[in-house]
Amino acid sequence: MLGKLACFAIGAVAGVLITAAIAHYILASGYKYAEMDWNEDGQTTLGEMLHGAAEVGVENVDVNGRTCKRFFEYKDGRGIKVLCDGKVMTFNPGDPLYE
Amino acid sequence: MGQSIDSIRQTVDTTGKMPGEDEALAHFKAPSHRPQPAALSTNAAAILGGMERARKTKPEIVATLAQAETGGAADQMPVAEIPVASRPARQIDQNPPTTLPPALMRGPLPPKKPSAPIDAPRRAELLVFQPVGDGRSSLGHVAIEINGLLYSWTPSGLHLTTKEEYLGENRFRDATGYPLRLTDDETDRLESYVLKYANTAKYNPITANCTDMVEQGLESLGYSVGLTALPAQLQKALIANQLASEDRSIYYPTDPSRKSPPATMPWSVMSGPK
Repeated sequence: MLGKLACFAIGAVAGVLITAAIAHYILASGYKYAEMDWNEDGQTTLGEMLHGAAEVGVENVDVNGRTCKRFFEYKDGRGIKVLCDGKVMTFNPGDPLYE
Repeated sequence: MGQSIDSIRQTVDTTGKMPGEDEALAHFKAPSHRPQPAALSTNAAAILGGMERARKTKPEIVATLAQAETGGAADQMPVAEIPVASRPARQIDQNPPTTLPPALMRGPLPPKKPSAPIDAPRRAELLVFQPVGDGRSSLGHVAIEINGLLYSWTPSGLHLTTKEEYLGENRFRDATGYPLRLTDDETDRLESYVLKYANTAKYNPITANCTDMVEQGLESLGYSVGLTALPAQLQKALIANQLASEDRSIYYPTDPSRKSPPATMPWSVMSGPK
C-alpha cells in the first residue's frame, strides 16, 4: 500500500514538473495564445504551441505605414501569417511578406 | 533429399569462411522467429560478401539461403533437386541500402588535395547558416551556390534560387560563405551531382539532410569529407581538406533591426557560430 502511494506521489510530482517545464517553455517564447493558432482554424493546440516555441520567429514589418508582426518558419524563412492590430492579413505565395 | 538447417549450419561451421552467412543463419535457429523477408533484406548487404564467395564454392548453400530470403521453408526445401543454374534470378536485394551515408558504406576515402590553384576564381560557395530556435533549425543549415545558382536541400525538397534571394529569405540568421577551391570541371560535376541527388534522394534528417547533399557531392569528386551530420562539422571538414579557408570566408550578417533569437538547446552549442 505504501509502495503504491509512493509510486503515485512520484508520478504525480514528475507529471507536474514536466507540465510546468512545457508551460514555461511555451510561455518563454513570448507568443500570445491566439497568435500560436498557426493554421487559423480557431483552435490553438499543444502541438502548435510547441511548434511556435521551437520553430517560429517573429519580426516587425511595415505594412502601409502600420507596424505589423510577421511570423515565419525558421527552417526556410517562409511567412506563416502577418498580424496587424490583432487582425490576420492574408497573403499569397509570391507576396514579399510570404517569401 | 531435403537439406536441414542443422546440416547447413554444420557445413558453414566446418568451413568457417562465411561470416556474413553466419549472421543470416542465426535467424534460422528458431523458425518461429524467422524475420519476414523485408526485415531480412536489411541484412542482405551484410551477407552479400560471404554470399559471393559461397556462390563460387558452395552453390547448394546459396540456393538454400536465397530461398529462405524469399520466405520459403528453408528447413524443408529439397535444395538438391533444384539446379542452381536453372533457378530464377536471386531474390536477395543486391543493391546496398541507400539510406546509409557513403562514408559508412565504404569507409573513408584516401586524402585528396585540391588541384585547383589557390588563387583561381571560385564558382562554388558553401553557405553555413547559424542555428536558430530550438527545433530542426537549431543545428544550423547549409546551402551551396554553384555557378550562380543556390541549391538548398530542405524537407520539402530542393530549393533553387539565387544567393541574394536566399540570403533575403534567411535574413533572420547569420551566414558565412566559404568559396570552395574546386576546378571548373569539379564545379560542374558537383552541380550535376547536386541535381541528380535532388532527383533521387528523399530528405531525411539523419541520412539525407542539408549537409549530406554537399558532403556526398564532394565525396563524388574524391574528397574525403568524412561523416558530417552537422553543418559545423562540414565546415570544419572543408577547412581541414583545404577546400575552404577562414581567411577567404565571407560573413553575411543579419539585419540588425531583425530579431534573431539564438538557439538555446544544448546541442546547438556544438554547431553554433564561433
